[in-house]
Amino acid sequence: MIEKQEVLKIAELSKLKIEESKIDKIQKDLSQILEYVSDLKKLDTDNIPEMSHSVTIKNVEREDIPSKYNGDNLIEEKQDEYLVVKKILKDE
Amino acid sequence: MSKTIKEIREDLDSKKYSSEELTKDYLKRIKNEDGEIHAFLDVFEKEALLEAKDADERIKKGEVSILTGIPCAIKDNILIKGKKCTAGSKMLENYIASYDASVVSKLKKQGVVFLGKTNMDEFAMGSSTENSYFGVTKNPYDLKRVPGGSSGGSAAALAAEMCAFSLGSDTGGSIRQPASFCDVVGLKPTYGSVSRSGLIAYASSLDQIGPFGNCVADVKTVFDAIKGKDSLDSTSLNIEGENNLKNIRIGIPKEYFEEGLDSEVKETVLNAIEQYRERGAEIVEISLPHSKYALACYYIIATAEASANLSRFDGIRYGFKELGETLNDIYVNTRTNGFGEEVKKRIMLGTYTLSSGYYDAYYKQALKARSLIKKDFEEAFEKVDAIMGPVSPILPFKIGEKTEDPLSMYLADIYTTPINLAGLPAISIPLELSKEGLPQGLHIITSHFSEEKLFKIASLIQWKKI
Repeated sequence: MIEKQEVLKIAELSKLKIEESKIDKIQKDLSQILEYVSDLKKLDTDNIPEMSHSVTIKNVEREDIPSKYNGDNLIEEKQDEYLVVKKILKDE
Repeated sequence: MSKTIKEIREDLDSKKYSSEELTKDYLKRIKNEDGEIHAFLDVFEKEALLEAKDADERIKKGEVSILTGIPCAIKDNILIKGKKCTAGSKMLENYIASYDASVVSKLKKQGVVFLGKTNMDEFAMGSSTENSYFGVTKNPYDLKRVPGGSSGGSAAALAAEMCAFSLGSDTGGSIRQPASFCDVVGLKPTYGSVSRSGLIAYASSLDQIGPFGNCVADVKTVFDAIKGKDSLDSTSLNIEGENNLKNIRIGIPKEYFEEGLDSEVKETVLNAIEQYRERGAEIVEISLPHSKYALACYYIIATAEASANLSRFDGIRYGFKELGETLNDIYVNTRTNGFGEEVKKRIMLGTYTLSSGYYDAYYKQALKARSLIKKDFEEAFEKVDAIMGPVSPILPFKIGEKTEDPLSMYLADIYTTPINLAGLPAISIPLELSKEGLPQGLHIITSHFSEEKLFKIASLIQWKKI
Protein backbone atom coordinates (compact mmCIF):
# COMPACT_ATOMS: atom_id res chain seq x y z
CA MET A 1 0.00 0.00 0.00
CA ILE A 2 1.42 3.37 -0.89
CA GLU A 3 1.15 6.10 1.74
CA LYS A 4 -1.49 8.81 1.55
CA GLN A 5 1.32 11.37 1.63
CA GLU A 6 2.80 9.74 -1.44
CA VAL A 7 -0.50 9.89 -3.30
CA LEU A 8 -0.67 13.62 -2.62
CA LYS A 9 2.92 14.05 -3.76
CA ILE A 10 2.25 12.26 -7.08
CA ALA A 11 -0.87 14.36 -7.59
CA GLU A 12 1.19 17.49 -7.07
CA LEU A 13 3.80 16.36 -9.59
CA SER A 14 0.99 15.53 -12.03
CA LYS A 15 -0.56 19.00 -11.56
CA LEU A 16 -3.76 17.48 -10.23
CA LYS A 17 -5.75 18.13 -7.10
CA ILE A 18 -7.49 15.26 -5.35
CA GLU A 19 -10.66 15.86 -3.41
CA GLU A 20 -10.40 14.73 0.20
CA SER A 21 -13.29 12.28 -0.31
CA LYS A 22 -11.57 10.55 -3.22
CA ILE A 23 -8.12 10.04 -1.73
CA ASP A 24 -8.91 6.64 -0.18
CA LYS A 25 -10.24 5.21 -3.43
CA ILE A 26 -7.28 6.46 -5.48
CA GLN A 27 -4.84 5.23 -2.85
CA LYS A 28 -6.47 1.81 -3.00
CA ASP A 29 -6.58 1.67 -6.84
CA LEU A 30 -2.99 2.83 -7.29
CA SER A 31 -1.76 0.41 -4.64
CA GLN A 32 -3.57 -2.52 -6.25
CA ILE A 33 -2.07 -1.75 -9.69
CA LEU A 34 1.41 -1.05 -8.32
CA GLU A 35 1.32 -4.33 -6.45
CA TYR A 36 0.41 -6.13 -9.67
CA VAL A 37 3.12 -4.47 -11.76
CA SER A 38 5.70 -5.07 -9.01
CA ASP A 39 5.76 -8.64 -10.26
CA LEU A 40 8.23 -7.37 -12.84
CA LYS A 41 10.84 -6.96 -10.13
CA LYS A 42 11.13 -10.77 -9.99
CA LEU A 43 12.38 -10.84 -13.55
CA ASP A 44 16.13 -11.26 -13.96
CA THR A 45 17.17 -8.49 -16.35
CA ASP A 46 20.93 -8.42 -15.82
CA ASN A 47 22.64 -7.53 -19.10
CA ILE A 48 19.30 -7.06 -20.89
CA PRO A 49 19.18 -3.83 -22.93
CA GLU A 50 16.37 -1.32 -22.42
CA MET A 51 13.96 -1.05 -25.32
CA SER A 52 11.91 2.10 -25.73
CA HIS A 53 10.92 1.51 -29.35
CA SER A 54 9.81 -1.74 -30.97
CA VAL A 55 11.03 -1.28 -34.55
CA THR A 56 14.62 -0.32 -35.23
CA ILE A 57 14.63 3.03 -36.99
CA LYS A 58 17.25 5.39 -38.24
CA ASN A 59 17.34 9.08 -37.56
CA VAL A 60 15.22 10.96 -40.08
CA GLU A 61 16.82 14.06 -41.54
CA ARG A 62 15.78 16.54 -44.18
CA GLU A 63 17.31 19.56 -45.86
CA ASP A 64 17.05 22.61 -43.61
CA ILE A 65 14.87 24.73 -45.87
CA PRO A 66 12.49 27.10 -44.10
CA SER A 67 8.89 27.04 -45.21
CA LYS A 68 6.08 29.37 -44.28
CA TYR A 69 3.15 28.00 -42.32
CA ASN A 70 -0.08 29.91 -42.36
CA GLY A 71 -1.66 29.39 -38.99
CA ASP A 72 -4.12 32.29 -39.14
CA ASN A 73 -7.06 29.94 -38.73
CA LEU A 74 -5.62 28.86 -35.38
CA ILE A 75 -5.62 32.35 -33.95
CA GLU A 76 -8.73 33.23 -32.01
CA GLU A 77 -8.01 36.92 -31.52
CA LYS A 78 -5.34 39.22 -32.94
CA GLN A 79 -4.37 42.84 -32.33
CA ASP A 80 -2.02 44.23 -34.99
CA GLU A 81 0.74 41.63 -35.11
CA TYR A 82 0.11 40.35 -31.56
CA LEU A 83 -1.98 37.48 -30.29
CA VAL A 84 -4.57 38.27 -27.64
CA VAL A 85 -4.51 35.67 -24.87
CA LYS A 86 -6.04 35.38 -21.44
CA LYS A 87 -4.04 36.81 -18.60
CA ILE A 88 -2.09 34.10 -16.83
CA LEU A 89 0.10 36.02 -14.39
CA LYS A 90 -0.91 37.84 -11.26
CA ASP A 91 -0.38 41.60 -10.87
CA GLU A 92 2.38 42.31 -8.40
CA MET B 1 -26.30 -8.96 -43.96
CA SER B 2 -23.73 -6.22 -44.28
CA LYS B 3 -22.07 -5.68 -47.65
CA THR B 4 -18.35 -5.86 -48.23
CA ILE B 5 -16.40 -2.99 -49.80
CA LYS B 6 -15.92 -5.09 -52.94
CA GLU B 7 -19.68 -5.61 -53.28
CA ILE B 8 -20.43 -1.93 -52.72
CA ARG B 9 -17.72 -0.99 -55.25
CA GLU B 10 -19.36 -3.21 -57.87
CA ASP B 11 -22.82 -1.83 -57.08
CA LEU B 12 -21.63 1.79 -57.28
CA ASP B 13 -19.70 1.23 -60.50
CA SER B 14 -22.61 -0.58 -62.15
CA LYS B 15 -24.94 2.25 -61.00
CA LYS B 16 -27.12 -0.14 -59.01
CA TYR B 17 -27.32 2.74 -56.52
CA SER B 18 -25.40 5.98 -56.06
CA SER B 19 -23.04 6.92 -53.25
CA GLU B 20 -25.62 9.58 -52.29
CA GLU B 21 -28.35 6.95 -51.93
CA LEU B 22 -26.00 4.69 -49.98
CA THR B 23 -24.95 7.56 -47.71
CA LYS B 24 -28.60 8.46 -47.08
CA ASP B 25 -29.25 4.84 -46.11
CA TYR B 26 -26.41 4.86 -43.59
CA LEU B 27 -27.51 8.25 -42.20
CA LYS B 28 -31.02 6.87 -41.79
CA ARG B 29 -29.70 3.83 -39.98
CA ILE B 30 -27.65 6.07 -37.70
CA LYS B 31 -30.78 8.10 -36.95
CA ASN B 32 -32.81 4.96 -36.18
CA GLU B 33 -30.23 2.87 -34.35
CA ASP B 34 -27.72 5.18 -32.73
CA GLY B 35 -30.07 6.71 -30.18
CA GLU B 36 -29.75 3.44 -28.33
CA ILE B 37 -26.23 2.28 -29.25
CA HIS B 38 -24.47 5.68 -29.06
CA ALA B 39 -21.55 4.79 -31.30
CA PHE B 40 -21.30 8.30 -32.76
CA LEU B 41 -20.26 11.54 -31.04
CA ASP B 42 -20.80 13.63 -34.17
CA VAL B 43 -22.61 12.92 -37.46
CA PHE B 44 -21.79 15.00 -40.56
CA GLU B 45 -25.12 14.76 -42.34
CA LYS B 46 -24.68 17.71 -44.73
CA GLU B 47 -21.01 17.25 -45.54
CA ALA B 48 -21.36 13.48 -46.00
CA LEU B 49 -24.04 14.02 -48.65
CA LEU B 50 -21.85 16.61 -50.41
CA GLU B 51 -18.90 14.20 -50.36
CA ALA B 52 -21.18 11.47 -51.73
CA LYS B 53 -22.31 13.73 -54.59
CA ASP B 54 -18.67 14.50 -55.40
CA ALA B 55 -17.94 10.79 -55.38
CA ASP B 56 -20.86 10.15 -57.73
CA GLU B 57 -19.39 12.74 -60.12
CA ARG B 58 -16.05 10.94 -60.00
CA ILE B 59 -17.75 7.60 -60.64
CA LYS B 60 -19.60 9.11 -63.61
CA LYS B 61 -16.29 10.32 -65.03
CA GLY B 62 -14.65 6.98 -64.35
CA GLU B 63 -12.11 8.54 -61.94
CA VAL B 64 -12.56 5.81 -59.40
CA SER B 65 -10.34 4.40 -56.66
CA ILE B 66 -11.35 1.37 -54.64
CA LEU B 67 -12.83 3.48 -51.80
CA THR B 68 -14.50 6.27 -53.81
CA GLY B 69 -17.98 6.93 -52.44
CA ILE B 70 -17.71 4.37 -49.62
CA PRO B 71 -19.03 5.74 -46.28
CA CYS B 72 -16.90 5.36 -43.15
CA ALA B 73 -16.69 6.37 -39.50
CA ILE B 74 -13.58 7.69 -37.74
CA LYS B 75 -12.58 7.33 -34.08
CA ASP B 76 -12.72 10.67 -32.32
CA ASN B 77 -8.98 10.84 -31.60
CA ILE B 78 -8.14 11.16 -35.33
CA LEU B 79 -8.26 14.70 -36.70
CA ILE B 80 -10.56 15.79 -39.52
CA LYS B 81 -9.94 19.45 -40.41
CA GLY B 82 -12.69 21.79 -39.27
CA LYS B 83 -14.39 19.12 -37.16
CA LYS B 84 -14.44 18.66 -33.42
CA CYS B 85 -11.99 16.11 -32.11
CA THR B 86 -12.74 15.34 -28.47
CA ALA B 87 -10.79 12.12 -27.74
CA GLY B 88 -13.80 11.35 -25.54
CA SER B 89 -12.70 14.03 -23.08
CA LYS B 90 -14.18 17.15 -21.54
CA MET B 91 -10.69 18.59 -22.03
CA LEU B 92 -11.27 18.71 -25.80
CA GLU B 93 -15.07 19.03 -25.81
CA ASN B 94 -14.94 22.07 -28.08
CA TYR B 95 -11.57 21.53 -29.74
CA ILE B 96 -11.71 21.90 -33.52
CA ALA B 97 -9.04 20.17 -35.59
CA SER B 98 -6.94 22.60 -37.63
CA TYR B 99 -5.60 19.96 -40.02
CA ASP B 100 -6.34 16.47 -41.34
CA ALA B 101 -4.62 13.42 -39.91
CA SER B 102 -2.47 11.82 -42.63
CA VAL B 103 -4.78 8.79 -42.78
CA VAL B 104 -7.75 11.13 -43.31
CA SER B 105 -5.93 13.00 -46.12
CA LYS B 106 -5.28 9.68 -47.82
CA LEU B 107 -8.92 8.62 -47.57
CA LYS B 108 -10.08 12.06 -48.77
CA LYS B 109 -7.92 11.71 -51.89
CA GLN B 110 -9.77 8.49 -52.69
CA GLY B 111 -13.15 10.23 -52.27
CA VAL B 112 -14.29 8.43 -49.15
CA VAL B 113 -17.48 9.68 -47.46
CA PHE B 114 -17.07 10.62 -43.77
CA LEU B 115 -20.27 9.89 -41.84
CA GLY B 116 -19.05 10.99 -38.44
CA LYS B 117 -16.77 10.57 -35.43
CA THR B 118 -17.10 7.67 -33.02
CA ASN B 119 -17.11 7.33 -29.26
CA MET B 120 -14.11 6.06 -27.30
CA ASP B 121 -12.64 5.75 -23.82
CA GLU B 122 -11.21 9.12 -22.83
CA PHE B 123 -7.80 9.54 -24.53
CA ALA B 124 -8.10 5.85 -25.56
CA MET B 125 -7.61 4.74 -21.95
CA GLY B 126 -9.94 1.85 -21.30
CA SER B 127 -11.22 -1.49 -22.53
CA SER B 128 -14.99 -0.86 -22.56
CA THR B 129 -15.77 2.69 -23.85
CA GLU B 130 -17.27 3.35 -20.40
CA ASN B 131 -14.62 6.00 -19.73
CA SER B 132 -15.97 8.42 -22.34
CA TYR B 133 -16.99 11.83 -20.97
CA PHE B 134 -19.92 11.65 -23.40
CA GLY B 135 -21.45 8.43 -22.08
CA VAL B 136 -21.10 4.73 -22.78
CA THR B 137 -21.50 2.98 -26.16
CA LYS B 138 -23.58 -0.20 -26.09
CA ASN B 139 -22.79 -3.51 -27.75
CA PRO B 140 -25.19 -4.02 -30.70
CA TYR B 141 -25.31 -7.75 -29.88
CA ASP B 142 -26.54 -7.11 -26.34
CA LEU B 143 -27.36 -3.57 -25.25
CA LYS B 144 -26.62 -4.40 -21.62
CA ARG B 145 -23.02 -5.14 -22.51
CA VAL B 146 -19.96 -3.10 -23.46
CA PRO B 147 -18.65 -3.01 -27.05
CA GLY B 148 -15.07 -3.25 -25.82
CA GLY B 149 -12.63 -0.39 -26.01
CA SER B 150 -11.15 1.94 -26.43
CA SER B 151 -12.37 2.05 -30.08
CA GLY B 152 -15.82 0.77 -29.01
CA GLY B 153 -17.72 3.36 -31.08
CA SER B 154 -15.96 2.41 -34.33
CA ALA B 155 -16.57 -1.32 -33.74
CA ALA B 156 -20.21 -0.85 -32.73
CA ALA B 157 -20.93 1.52 -35.66
CA LEU B 158 -19.72 -1.14 -38.11
CA ALA B 159 -21.42 -4.04 -36.31
CA ALA B 160 -24.75 -2.16 -36.37
CA GLU B 161 -24.27 -1.48 -40.09
CA MET B 162 -24.03 2.28 -39.60
CA CYS B 163 -20.93 2.51 -41.87
CA ALA B 164 -19.08 0.33 -44.39
CA PHE B 165 -15.77 0.45 -42.52
CA SER B 166 -14.20 2.44 -39.73
CA LEU B 167 -10.87 3.50 -38.28
CA GLY B 168 -9.69 3.03 -34.72
CA SER B 169 -6.41 3.17 -32.83
CA ASP B 170 -4.75 0.37 -30.88
CA THR B 171 -2.29 1.00 -28.04
CA GLY B 172 -2.81 -2.22 -26.09
CA GLY B 173 -5.73 -3.91 -27.86
CA SER B 174 -8.08 -1.00 -28.57
CA ILE B 175 -8.92 -2.22 -32.09
CA ARG B 176 -8.71 -5.99 -31.67
CA GLN B 177 -10.68 -6.35 -28.43
CA PRO B 178 -13.72 -4.28 -29.59
CA ALA B 179 -13.57 -6.10 -32.95
CA SER B 180 -13.76 -9.37 -31.02
CA PHE B 181 -16.61 -8.07 -28.80
CA CYS B 182 -18.63 -6.73 -31.78
CA ASP B 183 -18.12 -9.57 -34.29
CA VAL B 184 -16.12 -7.62 -36.90
CA VAL B 185 -12.56 -7.88 -38.23
CA GLY B 186 -9.99 -5.50 -36.69
CA LEU B 187 -6.32 -4.98 -37.58
CA LYS B 188 -3.51 -3.55 -35.46
CA PRO B 189 -0.80 -2.91 -38.08
CA THR B 190 2.94 -3.21 -37.46
CA TYR B 191 4.19 -0.20 -35.50
CA GLY B 192 5.37 2.32 -38.07
CA SER B 193 3.37 1.06 -41.04
CA VAL B 194 0.62 3.69 -40.67
CA SER B 195 1.35 7.35 -39.97
CA ARG B 196 0.37 8.65 -36.54
CA SER B 197 0.30 12.28 -37.68
CA GLY B 198 -3.02 13.69 -36.51
CA LEU B 199 -3.69 10.96 -33.96
CA ILE B 200 -4.09 12.34 -30.44
CA ALA B 201 -1.26 10.61 -28.57
CA TYR B 202 -1.77 8.23 -25.66
CA ALA B 203 1.48 6.19 -25.59
CA SER B 204 3.56 7.10 -28.62
CA SER B 205 5.76 4.00 -28.79
CA LEU B 206 2.67 1.76 -28.82
CA ASP B 207 -0.11 3.73 -30.62
CA GLN B 208 -1.08 2.64 -34.11
CA ILE B 209 -4.09 3.49 -36.31
CA GLY B 210 -5.88 0.59 -38.01
CA PRO B 211 -9.10 -0.44 -39.76
CA PHE B 212 -12.28 -2.30 -38.81
CA GLY B 213 -14.03 -4.16 -41.62
CA ASN B 214 -16.73 -6.73 -42.30
CA CYS B 215 -14.19 -9.16 -43.73
CA VAL B 216 -10.44 -9.66 -44.04
CA ALA B 217 -10.43 -8.32 -47.62
CA ASP B 218 -12.07 -5.05 -46.48
CA VAL B 219 -9.48 -4.59 -43.75
CA LYS B 220 -6.72 -5.22 -46.29
CA THR B 221 -8.24 -2.68 -48.69
CA VAL B 222 -8.37 0.04 -46.03
CA PHE B 223 -4.93 -0.84 -44.67
CA ASP B 224 -3.47 -0.55 -48.19
CA ALA B 225 -5.13 2.86 -48.50
CA ILE B 226 -3.71 4.32 -45.27
CA LYS B 227 -0.27 2.68 -44.91
CA GLY B 228 3.14 3.99 -45.91
CA LYS B 229 5.90 6.35 -44.92
CA ASP B 230 4.81 9.89 -44.10
CA SER B 231 7.14 12.85 -43.73
CA LEU B 232 4.93 14.07 -40.85
CA ASP B 233 5.64 10.97 -38.72
CA SER B 234 9.34 10.18 -38.39
CA THR B 235 8.56 6.71 -37.00
CA SER B 236 6.61 5.70 -40.11
CA LEU B 237 8.31 3.31 -42.51
CA ASN B 238 7.97 1.59 -45.88
CA ILE B 239 9.16 -1.92 -45.25
CA GLU B 240 8.09 -5.15 -46.87
CA GLY B 241 8.25 -8.05 -44.42
CA GLU B 242 8.50 -11.75 -45.07
CA ASN B 243 5.24 -12.51 -46.89
CA ASN B 244 5.99 -15.85 -48.52
CA LEU B 245 3.63 -18.61 -47.59
CA LYS B 246 4.09 -22.25 -48.57
CA ASN B 247 3.70 -24.74 -45.79
CA ILE B 248 1.95 -22.99 -42.95
CA ARG B 249 3.18 -23.59 -39.45
CA ILE B 250 1.03 -22.12 -36.73
CA GLY B 251 2.34 -21.67 -33.22
CA ILE B 252 0.03 -22.01 -30.24
CA PRO B 253 1.60 -20.41 -27.14
CA LYS B 254 0.81 -22.56 -24.14
CA GLU B 255 0.84 -19.43 -21.96
CA TYR B 256 -2.23 -18.09 -23.82
CA PHE B 257 -4.43 -21.00 -22.78
CA GLU B 258 -3.74 -21.09 -19.07
CA GLU B 259 -5.68 -19.92 -16.03
CA GLY B 260 -7.98 -16.94 -16.50
CA LEU B 261 -9.26 -17.90 -19.96
CA ASP B 262 -13.02 -18.44 -20.23
CA SER B 263 -13.67 -22.11 -21.01
CA GLU B 264 -16.13 -21.39 -23.80
CA VAL B 265 -13.76 -18.90 -25.50
CA LYS B 266 -10.99 -21.49 -25.17
CA GLU B 267 -13.07 -24.17 -26.85
CA THR B 268 -14.15 -21.90 -29.73
CA VAL B 269 -10.60 -20.70 -30.38
CA LEU B 270 -9.21 -24.27 -30.32
CA ASN B 271 -11.96 -25.31 -32.76
CA ALA B 272 -10.93 -22.53 -35.15
CA ILE B 273 -7.29 -23.64 -34.92
CA GLU B 274 -8.45 -27.20 -35.62
CA GLN B 275 -9.96 -25.95 -38.89
CA TYR B 276 -6.51 -24.77 -39.89
CA ARG B 277 -5.11 -28.20 -39.14
CA GLU B 278 -7.80 -29.75 -41.37
CA ARG B 279 -6.70 -27.40 -44.16
CA GLY B 280 -3.19 -28.77 -43.93
CA ALA B 281 -1.53 -26.31 -41.58
CA GLU B 282 0.96 -27.71 -39.12
CA ILE B 283 0.04 -26.79 -35.56
CA VAL B 284 2.87 -26.66 -33.03
CA GLU B 285 2.89 -25.77 -29.36
CA ILE B 286 5.29 -22.97 -28.57
CA SER B 287 6.25 -21.01 -25.49
CA LEU B 288 6.44 -17.26 -24.96
CA PRO B 289 8.00 -17.50 -21.51
CA HIS B 290 7.78 -13.79 -20.66
CA SER B 291 4.06 -13.49 -21.47
CA LYS B 292 3.11 -13.30 -17.83
CA TYR B 293 5.08 -10.07 -17.46
CA ALA B 294 3.63 -8.35 -20.53
CA LEU B 295 0.58 -6.75 -18.94
CA ALA B 296 2.59 -5.26 -16.07
CA CYS B 297 5.22 -4.08 -18.54
CA TYR B 298 2.52 -2.51 -20.72
CA TYR B 299 0.81 -0.62 -17.90
CA ILE B 300 4.13 0.85 -16.74
CA ILE B 301 5.28 1.95 -20.20
CA ALA B 302 1.89 3.13 -21.46
CA THR B 303 1.12 5.21 -18.38
CA ALA B 304 4.64 6.65 -18.26
CA GLU B 305 4.33 7.81 -21.87
CA ALA B 306 0.80 9.06 -21.19
CA SER B 307 1.93 11.17 -18.24
CA ALA B 308 4.38 12.93 -20.56
CA ASN B 309 2.04 13.16 -23.58
CA LEU B 310 -0.85 14.56 -21.59
CA SER B 311 1.22 17.28 -19.94
CA ARG B 312 0.33 19.43 -22.97
CA PHE B 313 -3.21 19.79 -21.62
CA ASP B 314 -2.46 22.68 -19.32
CA GLY B 315 -5.23 25.21 -20.00
CA ILE B 316 -2.92 27.35 -22.11
CA ARG B 317 -2.58 25.56 -25.42
CA TYR B 318 -5.70 23.52 -26.14
CA GLY B 319 -9.33 23.18 -25.31
CA PHE B 320 -10.74 23.37 -21.80
CA LYS B 321 -9.43 26.09 -19.53
CA GLU B 322 -10.19 26.82 -15.90
CA LEU B 323 -8.82 30.08 -14.57
CA GLY B 324 -6.97 30.56 -11.30
CA GLU B 325 -4.95 33.01 -9.29
CA THR B 326 -1.54 31.84 -10.44
CA LEU B 327 -0.19 29.99 -13.45
CA ASN B 328 0.11 26.84 -11.35
CA ASP B 329 -3.54 27.21 -10.31
CA ILE B 330 -4.56 27.37 -13.97
CA TYR B 331 -2.67 24.13 -14.69
CA VAL B 332 -4.07 22.34 -11.67
CA ASN B 333 -7.65 23.59 -12.00
CA THR B 334 -7.76 22.87 -15.74
CA ARG B 335 -6.38 19.36 -15.41
CA THR B 336 -8.36 18.47 -12.30
CA ASN B 337 -11.66 19.47 -13.90
CA GLY B 338 -10.86 18.58 -17.52
CA PHE B 339 -9.65 14.98 -17.15
CA GLY B 340 -11.80 12.02 -16.11
CA GLU B 341 -10.94 9.66 -13.26
CA GLU B 342 -9.25 6.89 -15.29
CA VAL B 343 -7.06 9.37 -17.15
CA LYS B 344 -5.99 11.01 -13.89
CA LYS B 345 -5.22 7.62 -12.42
CA ARG B 346 -3.01 6.68 -15.38
CA ILE B 347 -1.22 10.04 -15.38
CA MET B 348 -0.49 9.57 -11.67
CA LEU B 349 0.67 6.00 -12.19
CA GLY B 350 3.03 7.11 -14.96
CA THR B 351 4.28 10.04 -12.92
CA TYR B 352 4.98 7.68 -10.03
CA THR B 353 6.95 5.11 -12.06
CA LEU B 354 9.00 7.86 -13.69
CA SER B 355 9.71 9.72 -10.48
CA SER B 356 13.05 9.81 -8.75
CA GLY B 357 13.55 6.74 -6.57
CA TYR B 358 11.13 4.55 -8.55
CA TYR B 359 12.40 5.04 -12.10
CA ASP B 360 14.90 2.14 -12.02
CA ALA B 361 12.60 -0.29 -10.26
CA TYR B 362 9.60 0.31 -12.49
CA TYR B 363 10.21 2.16 -15.76
CA LYS B 364 13.74 0.98 -16.52
CA GLN B 365 12.85 -2.57 -15.52
CA ALA B 366 9.81 -2.45 -17.84
CA LEU B 367 11.98 -1.33 -20.77
CA LYS B 368 14.21 -4.34 -20.16
CA ALA B 369 11.23 -6.67 -19.86
CA ARG B 370 10.04 -5.25 -23.18
CA SER B 371 13.26 -6.48 -24.82
CA LEU B 372 12.65 -9.98 -23.46
CA ILE B 373 9.02 -10.00 -24.62
CA LYS B 374 10.03 -8.96 -28.13
CA LYS B 375 12.78 -11.60 -28.16
CA ASP B 376 10.23 -14.31 -27.27
CA PHE B 377 8.31 -13.43 -30.43
CA GLU B 378 11.43 -13.21 -32.60
CA GLU B 379 12.46 -16.70 -31.52
CA ALA B 380 8.94 -18.02 -32.12
CA PHE B 381 8.82 -16.58 -35.64
CA GLU B 382 12.00 -18.46 -36.52
CA LYS B 383 9.91 -21.60 -36.14
CA VAL B 384 6.37 -20.61 -37.17
CA ASP B 385 4.59 -18.38 -39.72
CA ALA B 386 1.90 -17.18 -37.37
CA ILE B 387 0.83 -17.33 -33.76
CA MET B 388 -2.81 -17.90 -32.81
CA GLY B 389 -4.80 -17.56 -29.61
CA PRO B 390 -7.77 -15.75 -28.08
CA VAL B 391 -8.15 -11.95 -28.38
CA SER B 392 -9.88 -11.51 -25.04
CA PRO B 393 -9.86 -13.92 -22.11
CA ILE B 394 -13.54 -13.19 -21.49
CA LEU B 395 -16.78 -12.66 -23.42
CA PRO B 396 -18.21 -9.11 -23.69
CA PHE B 397 -19.03 -8.10 -20.12
CA LYS B 398 -21.93 -6.12 -18.71
CA ILE B 399 -21.88 -2.35 -18.53
CA GLY B 400 -20.73 -1.38 -15.03
CA GLU B 401 -19.43 -4.87 -14.21
CA LYS B 402 -15.75 -3.91 -14.03
CA THR B 403 -15.75 -0.18 -13.46
CA GLU B 404 -15.18 -0.50 -9.71
CA ASP B 405 -12.21 -2.83 -10.06
CA PRO B 406 -9.58 -1.31 -12.38
CA LEU B 407 -7.25 -4.32 -12.25
CA SER B 408 -9.93 -6.71 -13.50
CA MET B 409 -10.54 -4.32 -16.42
CA TYR B 410 -6.80 -4.19 -17.18
CA LEU B 411 -6.67 -8.01 -17.24
CA ALA B 412 -8.98 -7.94 -20.28
CA ASP B 413 -5.92 -6.76 -22.25
CA ILE B 414 -3.71 -9.69 -21.29
CA TYR B 415 -3.35 -11.19 -24.81
CA THR B 416 -3.37 -7.96 -26.81
CA THR B 417 -0.78 -5.81 -24.98
CA PRO B 418 2.31 -7.99 -25.73
CA ILE B 419 1.75 -7.36 -29.45
CA ASN B 420 2.02 -3.58 -29.04
CA LEU B 421 5.11 -3.92 -26.85
CA ALA B 422 6.76 -5.97 -29.61
CA GLY B 423 5.35 -3.72 -32.37
CA LEU B 424 3.88 -6.67 -34.30
CA PRO B 425 0.86 -6.79 -36.61
CA ALA B 426 -2.19 -8.73 -35.39
CA ILE B 427 -5.78 -9.24 -36.46
CA SER B 428 -8.99 -10.20 -34.71
CA ILE B 429 -11.31 -12.49 -36.71
CA PRO B 430 -14.91 -13.14 -35.62
CA LEU B 431 -15.67 -16.74 -34.64
CA GLU B 432 -19.04 -18.34 -33.97
CA LEU B 433 -21.22 -16.68 -31.33
CA SER B 434 -21.20 -18.08 -27.78
CA LYS B 435 -24.16 -20.06 -26.40
CA GLU B 436 -25.55 -16.78 -25.11
CA GLY B 437 -25.16 -15.18 -28.54
CA LEU B 438 -22.06 -13.13 -27.73
CA PRO B 439 -19.20 -12.50 -30.18
CA GLN B 440 -15.69 -13.88 -29.67
CA GLY B 441 -12.56 -13.58 -31.76
CA LEU B 442 -9.45 -15.38 -32.97
CA HIS B 443 -6.15 -13.50 -32.60
CA ILE B 444 -3.61 -14.05 -35.39
CA ILE B 445 -0.13 -12.53 -35.06
CA THR B 446 2.69 -12.47 -37.63
CA SER B 447 6.18 -10.97 -37.77
CA HIS B 448 6.96 -7.27 -38.39
CA PHE B 449 5.60 -5.82 -41.66
CA SER B 450 4.10 -9.18 -42.67
CA GLU B 451 0.53 -7.94 -42.98
CA GLU B 452 0.19 -9.61 -46.40
CA LYS B 453 0.97 -12.96 -44.83
CA LEU B 454 -1.42 -12.17 -42.00
CA PHE B 455 -4.24 -11.47 -44.48
CA LYS B 456 -3.48 -14.65 -46.45
CA ILE B 457 -3.59 -16.82 -43.33
CA ALA B 458 -6.70 -15.07 -41.99
CA SER B 459 -8.46 -15.67 -45.34
CA LEU B 460 -7.71 -19.40 -45.45
CA ILE B 461 -10.78 -20.32 -43.46
CA GLN B 462 -14.22 -19.46 -44.77
CA TRP B 463 -15.45 -17.27 -41.92
CA LYS B 464 -19.22 -16.91 -41.58
CA LYS B 465 -19.43 -13.27 -42.66
CA ILE B 466 -17.48 -13.54 -45.89
